[in-house]
Amino acid sequence: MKRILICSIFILLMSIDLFALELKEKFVISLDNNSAPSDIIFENDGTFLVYDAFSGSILRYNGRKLISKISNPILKHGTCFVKAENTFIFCSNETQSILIINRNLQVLKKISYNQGSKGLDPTDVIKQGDDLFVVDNDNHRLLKFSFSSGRLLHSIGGYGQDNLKFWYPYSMAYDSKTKTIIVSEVLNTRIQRVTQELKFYEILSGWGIKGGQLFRPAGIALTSNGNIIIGDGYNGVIQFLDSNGKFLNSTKKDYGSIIRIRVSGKNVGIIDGWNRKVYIAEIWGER
Amino acid sequence: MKKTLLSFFYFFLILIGVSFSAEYKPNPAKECAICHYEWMPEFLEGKGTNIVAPIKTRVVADERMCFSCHNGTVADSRIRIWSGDIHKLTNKIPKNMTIPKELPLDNGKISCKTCHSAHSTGDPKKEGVEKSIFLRMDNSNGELCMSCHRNYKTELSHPLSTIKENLNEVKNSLRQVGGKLGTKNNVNCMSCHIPHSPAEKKLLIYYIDDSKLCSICHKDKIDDRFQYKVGMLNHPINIKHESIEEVKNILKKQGIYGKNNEMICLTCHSPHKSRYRKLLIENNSTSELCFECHKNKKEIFDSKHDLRKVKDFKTKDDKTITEKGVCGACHDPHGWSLELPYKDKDTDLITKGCMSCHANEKYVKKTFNLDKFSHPVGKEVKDFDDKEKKLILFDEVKKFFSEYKKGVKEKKIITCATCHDVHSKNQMSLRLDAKSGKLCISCHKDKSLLEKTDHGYKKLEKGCLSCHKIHDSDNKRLLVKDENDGCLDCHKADGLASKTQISIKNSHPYDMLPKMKIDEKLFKLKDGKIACITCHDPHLNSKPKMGKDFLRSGNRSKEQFCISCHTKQEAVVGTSHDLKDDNKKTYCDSCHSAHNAKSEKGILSLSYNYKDDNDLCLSCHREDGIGKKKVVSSGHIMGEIKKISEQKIDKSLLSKFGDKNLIQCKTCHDPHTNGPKKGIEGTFENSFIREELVLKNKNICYSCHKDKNDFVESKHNPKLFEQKDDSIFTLIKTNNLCGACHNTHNTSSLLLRKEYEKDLDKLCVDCHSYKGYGKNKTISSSHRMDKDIKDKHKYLTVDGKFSCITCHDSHSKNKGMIRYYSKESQTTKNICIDCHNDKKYVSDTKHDLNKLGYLSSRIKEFKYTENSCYFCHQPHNYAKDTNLMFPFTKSNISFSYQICLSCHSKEQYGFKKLVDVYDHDKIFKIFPFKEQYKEFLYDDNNKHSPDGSITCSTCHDPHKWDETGSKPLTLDEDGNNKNSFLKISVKEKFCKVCHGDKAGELFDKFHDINFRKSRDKKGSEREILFRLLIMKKEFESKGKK
Repeated sequence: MKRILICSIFILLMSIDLFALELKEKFVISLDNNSAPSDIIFENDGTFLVYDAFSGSILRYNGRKLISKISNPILKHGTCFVKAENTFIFCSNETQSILIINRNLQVLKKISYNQGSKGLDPTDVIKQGDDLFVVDNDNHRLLKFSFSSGRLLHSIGGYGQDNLKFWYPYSMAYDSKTKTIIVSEVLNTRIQRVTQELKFYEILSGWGIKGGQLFRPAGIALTSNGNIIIGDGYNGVIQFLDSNGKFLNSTKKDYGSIIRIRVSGKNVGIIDGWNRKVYIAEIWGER
Repeated sequence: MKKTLLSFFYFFLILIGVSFSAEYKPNPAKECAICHYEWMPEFLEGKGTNIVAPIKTRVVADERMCFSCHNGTVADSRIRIWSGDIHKLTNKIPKNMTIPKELPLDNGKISCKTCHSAHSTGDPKKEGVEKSIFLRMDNSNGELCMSCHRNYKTELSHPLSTIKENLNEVKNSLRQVGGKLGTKNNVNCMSCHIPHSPAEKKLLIYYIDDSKLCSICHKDKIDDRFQYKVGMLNHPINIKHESIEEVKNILKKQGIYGKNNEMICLTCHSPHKSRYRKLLIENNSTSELCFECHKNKKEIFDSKHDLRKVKDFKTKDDKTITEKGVCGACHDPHGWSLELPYKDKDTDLITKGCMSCHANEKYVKKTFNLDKFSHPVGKEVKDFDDKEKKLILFDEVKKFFSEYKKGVKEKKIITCATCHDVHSKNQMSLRLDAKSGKLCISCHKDKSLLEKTDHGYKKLEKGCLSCHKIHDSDNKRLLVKDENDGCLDCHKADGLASKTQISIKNSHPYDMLPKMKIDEKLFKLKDGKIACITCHDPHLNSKPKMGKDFLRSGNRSKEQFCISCHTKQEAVVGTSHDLKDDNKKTYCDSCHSAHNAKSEKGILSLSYNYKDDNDLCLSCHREDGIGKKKVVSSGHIMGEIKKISEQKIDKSLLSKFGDKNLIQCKTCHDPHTNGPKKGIEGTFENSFIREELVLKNKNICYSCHKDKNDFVESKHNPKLFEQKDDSIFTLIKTNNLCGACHNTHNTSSLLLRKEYEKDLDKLCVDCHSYKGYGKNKTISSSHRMDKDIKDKHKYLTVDGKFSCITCHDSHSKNKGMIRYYSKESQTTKNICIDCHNDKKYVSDTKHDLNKLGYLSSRIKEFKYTENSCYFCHQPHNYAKDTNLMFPFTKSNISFSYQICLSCHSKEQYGFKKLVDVYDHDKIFKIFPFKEQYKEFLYDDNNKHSPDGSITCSTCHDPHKWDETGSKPLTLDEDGNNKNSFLKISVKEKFCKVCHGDKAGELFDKFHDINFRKSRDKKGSEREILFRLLIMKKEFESKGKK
């Protein structure tokens, strides 16, 4: 009986662990002081790319091994670098525009939008079909462009704490199940979900340092099941929330100043801007 | 971004509504805790949460907190602030530094919040957001910096003065690299330093390598390309300091080097730690800093260039030697201490530096004039090979001077410093001894053989300087004397080289443009002219035993040496003029001597009393000369040809002497070319005849005697002789076509054999005799020669006498070789009228038999002759006893009748005018006044004579159709009593004497036999006698009176 009880408890504990969403760190890459890692792309061939905003370089890694580095001054001082089919989409804060770039880092197209004297301050993009969603950080907006024509289709936001208002939106992810976009807002310390048509959907989470609360939300991503992974720009904590914003789990490790989280399948890439590190991990425990 | 930050800030002010006085009361509200993380409620309770551990320390404004917003999520300062160096964030505060309380430390450590605060410190509208919000203190003029770095305020730090020159340029340059001036455009801490991500260590905004940072403001010292300013002779920067030992010394003194130990501004200057003037790292009032590296220049003390000796010396910035130091008297590290002269001249800077003193007598006695000839400076030396490094070219001295001249740095350039070490105590500050030649030969190694020759320094007191003046020479090639390249200064009677004195007069031509092409690789011309140095190189190794004294002969023999220029003269070799034998070194020497020759012309080495050019030949070709076999005593005319007919003579072939045109031996001969082989007699073609004459015409006589060119086609051309003997064949073979009659030398004036000198006609007759070459044209009688010609100047004569050549041109191709003197005679082919002009009217009359077309058919013997006169007269071979050169022999009848009736007979040319009656003699025999009327009387020779009688010539002039000389309208026209070759005036002047009034009728009908028969002859005779009686009385009475 005693044994049965012990086994039952063990099985219960095991089952709890098995279903707890967590990250298994595979390896970490440290860049030197003259670098500013800003984004990461998982390639189909198992390699991954790291965008360095300091040197304007794209570093290709196979595991820990750096296998190539190509640079273009136009890539200096940017924030996001996202893959879209055979091209890349680059957030160029220097030129206040979105640049469509081929694999040789040649600029194919430039998308910009000025409202008065204020130009774009893009910090993240999502391409969904011909729609190109752009986080306009400094202008507290979310914009939708036609990828093919570069024309602005729709714009929401402006500084504020209300629905469809933003306060330093920074990163975002696309939820294919609900066909919505979740946006991390750094100083509103929340996640705002909007539809593809840029209609309000919901607000998730809020200010605080408890599980499910946000202090300096920055990097954000979705797992294949629609769970939310969000990293903190100050305390280095990564939290797992379900699609309703319910706290699932968090990392114990201090990931520094998390400015970008990208997910590809089970692989997770985390950029620690403070320590100039790139973490590669796997998602475990997701049902 | 600024506006966003501003709105961010206002948002704080409005929303939190919290006064800054409450700053220190923990407020867990989001607006505060968003930075004051430690104020989160859980932390204030000392607890953590399920995702974060509790914290006990203040983390607000720690670096990571700042970064959590400045990481690109709110503002992106990753690169500007966190990608490079940053102001020290340490708790090791220097002892001599006091941090003011307004600048809070973080647990004793300098942190972001020491200087920055998220709360406002000033007036954002007035000062701008960044200044007012984030800095705790105004730093427009470095106030914030200097609130800690108070030690800066010492006198020996970089001045914080206002920028006045190039202000906008400096401002822009600073802005581009992140620096800025103060509120009054003054230099301040932020002009050179920046606390975050500096380009250079020491928080410098820009690089110290290549002195780039200093160059932003110090544009007068460093140019835009961060190179030292050119053209100033300043101390070089940005070049490697080679000496490790010196580098160590400088580093000890807090000097700083750029990459690879390159000297930069900070090598000598310390902007904050200097204790000496000019922010130098070492006291330099006595040039101590200079000597730290330039130890080898200490010798300058007490040398000629130690300018402490110079009274009242001042540099261009009015500084004394005491202020500038010994080095600084010339070398100001940032530009030459004295005014550089020759601003417009493209002269190297080192020369300019030297000339800043040596161009005028203000400070030195030894001055130089760049307009004169001096040893070249600024010249590139490509093959300089001074392994011993005794002399230095510019590429060496560039270490001490910043450049050669603008744009030229790396070339090996000669400068003053190549020979002179101005820092040494050597004589003349020379690097090597000049008098011994060592200095010069260090570069001029090709002159090194000189030392062993008579031109070597052991023989010459001053070595190279005996001939050369290095500075301020008046002559090219730095010669002491220009005339004769200065050679004769020694090579003269009382000169140093008196044994080899040279007479310019009897030497190879000098100071003249060469006529031939000179190979200037072998010879050297002086301004294109021949000079001593053309043949001689005074620096060569002399081989006097070979007769090659300083000759530029190389490996060539002396003969080859001469022939290098005088190429044509090589043809003399092997000819009879090649006098080379065992006693003579060369065939040139046989006749010539380049110096001290016996003659000026031809510089002959043969003794003779030379007066003119011909004497050059006669020095041999005389009775006692070596060419005695070919003595020339007389012959072709020589000397000046005053009147030259261009049609007759090719003037260019004559020798020139001033305005004079001369015929000389060399007019036809060139003693060096076209000579016969030695021992073989020369021919008309190869007896040293000028080749161009032979090539031109073969017969050289034609070269000048253009008027004789027709001779080739004349019958006197031996080639055309019908009969030729061996002599003629020889003449033909050697083209000596003139040789049948002429010889050039040892002949008479017409180049004839001397036996014909006094009887030219004899030459013609000898040939045109039965034994001569012209026997087909033998001459038995000729137009009389003995008579003086009236107008001698009109005709070609011999001593004023008629001669063969008067009528004949023996070189002409004309028929009969007739010499025409007038156009009329040439046109009518009648030479006779040139003298017998009164007979010219015969042409186109019935006595011009050529024109009587019916004669040839009527008269079998009729022969056409060009000259109409020849029908009646023959210039040659006429009957000897006739005076008018008639072809027939004189008979006993009156000459006049004879000649007229010889034609006016039935079988002859005048068959149409037969004369039945013609005799007047019987009556005439009693005529008593023959003397008075002899002009109408003719003797048997048809000459006027009182012994003559009335003949055809009394009434007729056979050369005039009428008395006026007019012509008949047609030759068929019959004559009348007014023409018919009649002298009409005879009727009145002479016939009337006897016949009175009947004279006219008798004259007109003289040949009318019927009239004559019908006359009363006796009555007529009485009347005649009566008139003669009356006339006699009249003459007698006139005689008495």
